[in-house]
Amino acid sequence: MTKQNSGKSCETPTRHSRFLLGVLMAGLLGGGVVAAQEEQKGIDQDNYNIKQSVEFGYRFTDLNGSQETYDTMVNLQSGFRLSGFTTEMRSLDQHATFFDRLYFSNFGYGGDPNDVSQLRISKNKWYSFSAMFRKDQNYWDYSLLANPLNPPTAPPNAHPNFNPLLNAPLNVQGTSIVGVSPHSFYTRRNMQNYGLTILPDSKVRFRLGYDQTAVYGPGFSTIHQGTEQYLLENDSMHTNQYRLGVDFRFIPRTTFSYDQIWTYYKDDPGLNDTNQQFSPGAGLPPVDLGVSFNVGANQPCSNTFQSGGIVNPTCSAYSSYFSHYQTRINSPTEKVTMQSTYFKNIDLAGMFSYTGGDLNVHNYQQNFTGLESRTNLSNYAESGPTQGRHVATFADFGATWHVTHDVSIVDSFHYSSWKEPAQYAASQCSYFSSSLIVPVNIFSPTATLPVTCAPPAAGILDATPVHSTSSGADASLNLDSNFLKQENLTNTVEVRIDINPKVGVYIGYEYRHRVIADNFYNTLSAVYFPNNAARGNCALAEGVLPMGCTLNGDGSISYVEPISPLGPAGVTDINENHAVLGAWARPTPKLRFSFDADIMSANNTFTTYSPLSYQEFRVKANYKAASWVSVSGNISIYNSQNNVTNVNGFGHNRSYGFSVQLQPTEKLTLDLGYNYNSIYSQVLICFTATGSEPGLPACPGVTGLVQQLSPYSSNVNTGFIDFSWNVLSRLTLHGGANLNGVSGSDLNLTPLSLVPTSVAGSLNSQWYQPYGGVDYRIAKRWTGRAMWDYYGYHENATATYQDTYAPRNFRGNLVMLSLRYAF
Amino acid sequence: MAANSKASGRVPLFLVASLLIFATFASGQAPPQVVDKSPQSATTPSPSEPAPVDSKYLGPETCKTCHEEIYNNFVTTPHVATTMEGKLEANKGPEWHGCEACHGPGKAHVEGGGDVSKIFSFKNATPKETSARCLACHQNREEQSNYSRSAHLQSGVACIDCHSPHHAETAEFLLKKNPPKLCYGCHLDIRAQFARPFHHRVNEGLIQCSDCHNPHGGFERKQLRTAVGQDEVCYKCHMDKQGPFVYQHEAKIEGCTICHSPHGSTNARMLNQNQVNLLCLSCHSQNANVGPPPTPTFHNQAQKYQACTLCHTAIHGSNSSSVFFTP
Repeated sequence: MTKQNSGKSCETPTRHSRFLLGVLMAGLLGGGVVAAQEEQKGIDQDNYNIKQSVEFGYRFTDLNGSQETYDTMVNLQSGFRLSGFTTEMRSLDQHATFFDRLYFSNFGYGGDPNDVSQLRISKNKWYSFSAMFRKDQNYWDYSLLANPLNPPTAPPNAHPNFNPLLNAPLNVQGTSIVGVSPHSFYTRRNMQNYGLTILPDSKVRFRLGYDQTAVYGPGFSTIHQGTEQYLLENDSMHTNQYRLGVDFRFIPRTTFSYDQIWTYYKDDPGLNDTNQQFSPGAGLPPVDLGVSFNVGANQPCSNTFQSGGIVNPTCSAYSSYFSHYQTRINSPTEKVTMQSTYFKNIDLAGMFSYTGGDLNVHNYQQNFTGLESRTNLSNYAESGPTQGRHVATFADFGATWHVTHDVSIVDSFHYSSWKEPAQYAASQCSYFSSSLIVPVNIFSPTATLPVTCAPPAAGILDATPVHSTSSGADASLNLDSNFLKQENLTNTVEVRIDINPKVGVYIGYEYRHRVIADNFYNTLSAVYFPNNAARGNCALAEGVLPMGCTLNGDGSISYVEPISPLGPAGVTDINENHAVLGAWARPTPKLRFSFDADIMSANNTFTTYSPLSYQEFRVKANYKAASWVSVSGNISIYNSQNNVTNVNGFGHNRSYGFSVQLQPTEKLTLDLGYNYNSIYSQVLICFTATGSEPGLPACPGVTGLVQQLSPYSSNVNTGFIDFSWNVLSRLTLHGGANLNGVSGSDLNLTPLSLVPTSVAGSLNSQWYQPYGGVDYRIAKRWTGRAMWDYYGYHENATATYQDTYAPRNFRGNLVMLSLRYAF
Repeated sequence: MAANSKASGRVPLFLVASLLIFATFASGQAPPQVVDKSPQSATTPSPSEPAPVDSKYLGPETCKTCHEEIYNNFVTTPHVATTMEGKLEANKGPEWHGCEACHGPGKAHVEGGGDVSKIFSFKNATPKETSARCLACHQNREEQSNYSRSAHLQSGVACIDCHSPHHAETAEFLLKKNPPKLCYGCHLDIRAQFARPFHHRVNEGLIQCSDCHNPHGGFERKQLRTAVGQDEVCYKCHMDKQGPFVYQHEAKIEGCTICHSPHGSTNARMLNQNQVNLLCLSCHSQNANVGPPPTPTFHNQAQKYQACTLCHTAIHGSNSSSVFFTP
């Protein structure tokens, strides 16, 4: 996959001819005829009642605006479609030979991004089988994520068509950079799920299951090595899960279950740099200068181009890069569950599971040739094995004691403990040069090396490498071992009281205790070749080599990290106390309310973004005012605080909404509703930025950074309307809309800078989806349909700090003409 | 590391656990009991209570004589299986079969000329009472085994608020409406979230609310399901983010919602904030003994990075880079 023209161009040519053809056909088919869908009664045949429907058609898509944003958000293109295919079979006497019930449904096939197939077959008393296949085509090219902050100024001596803001075609050397959506991807996710239950109603029940998730496809990424080089990644991830379970029901009203689950994860990605667009000189292979071009900040380097557009040979760039590895995670899980109402007035449920998983990464290779100017690194190879474990124990127990007819006591207990130790032993070989066009000097050491390095073929043998004072070791074996764990103990107890058949309340208390601990261990064996051998871990300290460093006869310095005892783990201990309470009421059969509250207070948090306390309230109401009108309301309020010194964290998420359902006749239904959502958060942040607000205080405890309050607000208005009107016996009209508008703000870190760090983007935008359609019953069992969908996305161009890649707006008109056959 | 080094310990563990649990119940095994579903009963019809003899039960054919339309619909639903001879091996007896399995014995109702006070009425019962009727049969599966402790029942939502044995819109699971419209009827705020431009494909039909949430309750908050090994439900599909990793992004301990809005968001990648850098700086600011490190002083926010993830690409975890530069 390659990057094509994209980015700043807003208006793409409309597909007028195709769209007009679609409208014409809609008119011919429509012609004043509209149809109602018959109720599917099915046909009785061979001891089965069979219902079936199939709908196929063609979609016409007419798009104005950003194709990339449309494909990211909607991705419905023109073409033939299998809109739906459904079969239901039900045996009439419940004693059919192979199955008594079958349900098979499909939709989306033909090119839509989401295809789903679902199958359920069962034979009373003998088996029940379910299968599902889902495909998700996930195209991502929204031009406001991971973009470099390139100003519009091209570096001097650049190609005349060079533009730091545009993704130019790759076939025009010297012009192409990737400043827009460098992390776009086009992946496909296939999910399959199968489950079989044998003897579902017997005292011993067997369950088999298999799930597979496969994710594959191309995507783009970047890597920071001097600059940010542009990489093509081909994903290939698979997860296979096998499940075997058995239920025992020998004791009355009690079920014991055992499940053995095995999960196997496999990932075989490859990353390559295929963006070598710039020439470092005649006869030399082209190089990738990365995605960041900021002359004022000397990115990718000062004086990037020399006369004729030749790359400055001292500039950071890649001639080549590749990385590949094979990740394998093998996780068997044993699970025991219990459910019982054996004891009078007591409901019990419990679960215990143990997972012991292994992580292995095989054949890890990372290779780079080019130049990292700060360190003179010119050729680098890294490899090494990775191993890890995921050990998790979970235990849950719940009990409901029906003390009286109206009073229940509910208790839920949870314990979990998981640990993840992992280590990576990296063998690293580095070769240095001061220039892109000068081969590396290959040193011939007499000292023993911790790893075996294969020198590059194009190097100069028996020469002294050209290091800078920032160069790393020439050969090293680095072992990183990390450990992370969490223990969680939670218990919730509630009293629930049905005051009368129309009103109930509950009150409860929850205690949660978490301990999070991490630790790490590192050992390093390295050799620093001359010149500047006394660098890195062996840089002279007051003229003396540090501990662990040994000067060798060939002028190199060997380093072995001094053994030190494992340091204390970083431990975070958190105690949370919750008060939970609520009520429900049904004063009349037509009116119901519910109220729920959860109030939490903790003594600690793991991150500054986590709340130290919060209050959550939810109110729901529903009133059936008449047989033909129903009104619903919903209020949800969440307030959070982490108001400790140097955090000043506050936040809220408040939502208010209502909906009305009207059905004045059997032939007319109307739903409409509105929701307002206010989201706010703030926290003190520390950063450094040229062009930041003047006079900011210094960040306490961190030299060189300033501190500023970072508020974020988002106010979302959502409205919806849906109607269906069976105008005539053959004619039904559908219509409606989902309308979404958001306005908000966040902190601009660089208000004095020409290129803002924070842009309006989707935070100030509208998202409209009206639709309409007609159904016309052409003949018995045949229905013609014409459906119009509109997708409109608009980012507010007048909002403060719009970026150069705006607008990402689009307007899509889709017309779907289909024919449905059903019985 | 040997993958099977722990395997030998699992079998004795399972056997010991099973024996302990079985011994607890076997020692107190009571004789088989019949459910008392009489509407005259002063107590909540609990599945564990004894019930009278079957002379009060008439069978579904009797119900059909007056309620023919409902009966004709009933025989098209999976509940018709309760009328089959020998169908329910675990639950034998007329009190488990047909209409009277839910509505209780019908003799008094018939003899009373259709007196509605002589039979169990779902309309006038509490959510706990109506749900107990359904759970008498359906509680023995893990899917429904936690309903008595669920947030739904806690808020007065009964089984029949979502399911309709007689007037279901969907043949599958006898739901009153197709999901997600069924869920949106109460969860209006969630409907609004899925209407935002960046959202999980629930409205498109790719996934359903019940893929992540168990509407019948569970052991997790918000009635969330779990991935295998009781990990976050997100990893059912996003397994590449699960790990374990050598270099962990420890914020994941707080859950994926520390950075993402799982239903829908106006921000790309369903992030909680529009600007990636501000989201990262929310945690990577302070210098503390534990927790994330602050950003280094050479990270000039004005120069390169509209998003920290331009360089820190493997932000969910890495096996090769302590700063998440490479996967």
